[in-house]
Order: sequence, then C-alpha cells, then structure tokens
Amino acid sequence: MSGKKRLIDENGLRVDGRRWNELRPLKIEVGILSNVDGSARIIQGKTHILVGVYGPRESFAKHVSLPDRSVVRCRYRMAPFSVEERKSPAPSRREIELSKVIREALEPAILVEEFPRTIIDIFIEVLEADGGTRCASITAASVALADAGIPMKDLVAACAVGKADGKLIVDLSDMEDKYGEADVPVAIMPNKNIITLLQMDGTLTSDEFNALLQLAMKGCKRIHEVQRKALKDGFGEIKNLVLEE
Amino acid sequence: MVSSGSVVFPGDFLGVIEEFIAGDGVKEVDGSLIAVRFGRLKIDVRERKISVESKRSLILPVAGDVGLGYVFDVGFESAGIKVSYVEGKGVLRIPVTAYLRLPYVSSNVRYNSMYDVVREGDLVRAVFLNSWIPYNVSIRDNDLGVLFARCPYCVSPLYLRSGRLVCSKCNFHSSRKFASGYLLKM
Amino acid sequence: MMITPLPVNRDLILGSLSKGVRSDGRRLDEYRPIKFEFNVISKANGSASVRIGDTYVLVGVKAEIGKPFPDTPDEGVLIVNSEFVPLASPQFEAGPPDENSIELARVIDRGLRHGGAVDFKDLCIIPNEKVWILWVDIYVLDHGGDLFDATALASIAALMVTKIPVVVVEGSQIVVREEKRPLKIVDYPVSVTINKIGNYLLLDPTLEELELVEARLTMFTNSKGEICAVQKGLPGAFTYDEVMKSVELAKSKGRELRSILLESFNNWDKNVRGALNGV
Repeated sequence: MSGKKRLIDENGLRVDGRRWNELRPLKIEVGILSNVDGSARIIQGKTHILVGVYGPRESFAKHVSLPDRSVVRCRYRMAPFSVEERKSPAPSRREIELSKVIREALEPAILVEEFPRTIIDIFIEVLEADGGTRCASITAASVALADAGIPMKDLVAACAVGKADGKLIVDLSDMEDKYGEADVPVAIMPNKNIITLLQMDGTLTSDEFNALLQLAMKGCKRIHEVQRKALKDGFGEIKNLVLEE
Repeated sequence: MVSSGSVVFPGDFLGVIEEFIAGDGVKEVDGSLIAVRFGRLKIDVRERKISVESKRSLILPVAGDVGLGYVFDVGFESAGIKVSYVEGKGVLRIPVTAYLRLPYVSSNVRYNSMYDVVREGDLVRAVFLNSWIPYNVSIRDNDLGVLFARCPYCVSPLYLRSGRLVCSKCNFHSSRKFASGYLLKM
Repeated sequence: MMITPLPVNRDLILGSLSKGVRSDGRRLDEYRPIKFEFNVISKANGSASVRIGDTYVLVGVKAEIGKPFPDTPDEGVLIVNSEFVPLASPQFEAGPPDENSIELARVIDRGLRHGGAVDFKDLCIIPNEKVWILWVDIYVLDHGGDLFDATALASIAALMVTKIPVVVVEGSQIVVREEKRPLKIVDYPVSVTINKIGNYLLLDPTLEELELVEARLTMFTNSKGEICAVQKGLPGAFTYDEVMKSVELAKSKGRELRSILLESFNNWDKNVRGALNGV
C-alpha cells in the first residue's frame, strides 16, 4: 500500500468524509427535456448525467428492426469537459462497452415483445463524471423509460460497491474507483430481486464478494425509493443515505 | 392495498388473477397482476378490470385511429403514407409508415390502379386497420381519402368542382379518391 | 428527418404574426425568459448553461498548454466545438458532427474572436513555444428553436467564469501552480438571430415557428455596438431593408441580452463572494 493515496483515514472516514456504508447525496429529476419521449437527470455527488429516451418508434433502417420484438439501442457518451483531462468527442472503446452493458442491464425489464419492428433509443450524456457513472446511468435511464410510458416489468436500480484500503465501501467516488482494490457495479430489478448488471474489477475473496453483493442490493433498494419518488413528484432526493449493516 | 387513483410504478404487485382482469398497463405473471407502467390505477368494479392510466400512454396508433399523412410512394397496387397526426391524440413525434392497398380504397367504385387513387405528395385522411408495424390503412368511408392534392403538371392546388378535382391554372382533370372534407372547393 | 408542417399550422402562425403577436403571446422581437447557471461543471475550467424557453445549452471550457499557431506566435488558441446530442431533438442523429453543428461552432468561434472577448496575448506563456489552448465545447441539450443566441450567451458566460492555473517560467521550464486566475475578458459579444417567416422578422422562434423559417441572420455585436460577425443561414433570402432592420434589432436586442448576461453574472458573483466572506 506504500506510495498509494490513503483512501480511508484512522477514524474510518473516506476521502470525502463519508462512512464506509454511506452513499453520496442523490438527486433525480424527471421530464426535464422537451423533445424526447422520456427524460431524467441524475446528480450523485459530483456525477451529473442526462438521459433521454425515444420510442418505441419506427426504425428508419429496416435491417435493425426485428419482426417479433422491439430493438433497444443505447448510447453512453461523456462530454469533453466531464473529466479532468479534456476527452475527445469521438467514442472510446470504454464508452462502447459501457453502452452495451447498460443496455443489457435495462433490457430484461423492458417488455420488448409488445412493440414488434420498433426501436427504443436510450441516449446517455455524462456531463460530469466522478465515479459510478454506469450505475447512475442505469438508474436514470430506467426512470426515463418509465417517464416515456414504455411498458416494463420493473424499474432497474443500480449501485456500485467495492473495496479500498482493505475495507468494503459503497458508492465509489472517482478516486476510490481508480486507487481502490475492487469495484463492483450492480443493478437489480428491485421488486423481483434479480440482478441485471454485475461487473467486477479487482480482487476479492468470495466472502467479501458475497458481502459486497448483499450490500449493493440493499443500496439498490434505497435508490429504488428515490426513483419512485422522482417519478411521482418529478423530483426525488436523498441527502444522507447510510445503509444498515 | 390497491385503490383506484393511487400512483403505481412498473413492477408493483396489484393483485391476483382471481380478483381482477388485466387491462391496459397491467400484465399477468404467474397468477399475479403486475403494473408495467408508471401512472394512476383505474379499477372498473363492474367489469372487474384493473388498468394503469398514464399521460404518456399514447405512443403508437392503434386500430380504429384516424390519421393524417402525406403519400410518399405510389405503386400499382399499394401506396405508402407517412402518418404524422392522429385525430384526438395529436402530432406523432416520429411519423409512422402506413400502407394503403387497392381493396381498401372504396366499397362501391372499382379502381384499376393506385395511380387513380392517390399521388405522391397528397395529404390523406385514413383509418388504421391494425395496431402494429407494418400498419395498414383504409380510405373506404366517405369522409376518408385525399384532403389536398396538387396538379401533376403545374403543381398548383387542385380544386373540387362538381365531383372532380380540377387544376385551378391549367384545367387539368385529375382522378383521386377524395374525402368528403376535401380542403379546396369551388 | 423533417416533418412537413400541416397547412393549418402555417396559416395559424402567419395569421397571428400579422397581428404582431405570436402563438405564445410574445411580441415578434421578444425573447422567452433567459436563465443562466454559472460553473455547473466543476471538472471544467469554466462552464455555463443557458435556457431560453425550452432551449437548453451547456458550454464547458477546458484549458490545456500547447503550441501556438505559427502566424500568431504570442497568442493563445481558442477552439470551439459543438455537439448536437441526440437527446436534444429527434432530428439529431448520433454520429460525428454534421454541417449544422459545425456551422454553429464556427459562427460562435468568429463571434468570440472578432468580438474581442478574450485577450489572447494574455494566454501566451513562451512565445512560439507554449500558450494556453481554450477548448470551448458546446453541448446542445434541448432544442427549443434558437440555438445560436443561446450558445453564444453560454459561451461568453463560460469564458467569464473560466479560471486557468497560474504558470511561472523558470528558465525553459514551465511550473504550473495550484492557484488559479480568471481570463482577461475584454468584451462581451452576444448574438441576435433574426428569423424570417413571410414578411415578418422574429426573434427566438419556437420549434413550431422554426419549421416555417425561410431564412436566418445571426449577428454578433460587441459592447460598443459594432457588428463583429454575421452569418446568413437557411435557403431563403433577405431584402436590403430587412438586413438594415436586422442590424438595428441586433444592436438594440444585443444590448438587452448583454445586460441580462452581466446582471446574472454579477448576481452570481455576489453570491459566490458573499458565501466566501460569510464563512
């Protein structure tokens, strides 16, 4: 651990002063864009993302549509000013991979068979990135899909967990993501309690992994509450979210 | 406890199939009724039907809707129409393509080819026959058909005069299946 | 893809224009409410978002050290780039910038440059070697009709709050310090876009009105009332009288926009300073 940044101090507090089981303040706004069918804005700590959904709409390119179901497309992009060093606007390999995993995390919830030969487009614009963008994107996209009136079996809520300085932590910030030992983004369908996104970056024992997964699912359930509130009132917020052990 | 008017979210458990019949926005999964969209619950006590009403429920036209659109392609037996407006529902964000085929043009007059029915660029009022893509439409009724057309030679608007469409400039007579509400009358 | 407007729409809009009012009750030369937000992106060196009615744009400025252009060895570099993200409008396709987005970026670039917004000499570190490069990235987030004027306002607003690190030259070495300083803002160029429908000239069209706009004239003015960049767009044309009328509009409305910009900035600045002093 020498030469590395200390991520947890002697009092057990993280770089931004949070406890290990504390999420960053979370804000979700619904229906903020005028031209899309459904939209949402999520602000989680400094991470700031806008999601817009079109559809189901006719596909202009016939070869992308399927006769028995709707095709879901997802585009995750980061703004050039969203990160420390200016990002070129051309899509990176990371953005292409994230677009795919986000789509595959949302698709299990969408009733795609209701609208054959159509396309559902999900556009995710990361305006500021400070860790946890894929989870925040999923949380916001699911709300935007519901805002668009697209039939879904369930909402999808996502939460990242991980390990830094030998301790398990929830909702990783950019620094903890970069310098920590492990990062585990998880998305679930909260009513059905099934997992639709699971990735892992780093090393963990199976006990740690198990504990983290349970922690993440708890986190998702709390985020689900914010999603519901945002849909109902147009705005949902949680300032102090500490998960029980 | 579910009650009419309460707000529900996708995935919410609403009851079991013994209690209600699944209506709009509700799906039956293994004997349970689940809300599949965000909106307000509506329970029809007489029909024992439960549904979710959403302000965004309009997404695509359904059978029986009457739409307005422009003809973009005409073949011998069928024509393609881009429908951008549905009466009673409003402007569609993305126009849908609908096809009109010869048997659905008129119930009393026989048209030999689609070229005598509509032409490219015509504004048409038509009723949807199905609720999925590819859409099919009919203009059999009196109040359905071409609402506005232009002369194929000089591009001036055509006027309806004693049951025929006539060009206001060059007097050219054009054959169309026009609607009773054709916009320009003389 | 453009949706052909239904004939009813056109008559309705033209009918109300002839009475001097628009379908939403505005006068022809009236903007919708303008709202600024400063420093919305903390990772950027400076940023601002502007809303004019439904239009919503965000501009982020990033500063990098790089080489100057050979013809201006002692001046910093300004690069304007714009992205029409698909969630802003169903007509915006995903993919590399199209001609509309490139046109917008280039017009804003000219407006800022010729409007003398930034002191470029102030951005020079070592002549011929190292200067500051300012990347102005425009993000159109919601298309509500008037993109030029909103992005022009957001761009100058973002530059006004941009802070770059203080650098010291020691021999041939450049030392980048922790502390930051603002840019030297010399002028506040703003754009006023005049839209022509029939014989009417109107400002800040709604999306509905925009479909009927035949020609567009974007005019940048600086605080002296000089015209510093002009761009005519769309297939229509203007008469001489219309152009001269547009010049007057651009000057008077430009003054109005500039005062809204400066007032919003001062209010924000006061709050920021107040918060700093209060603690």
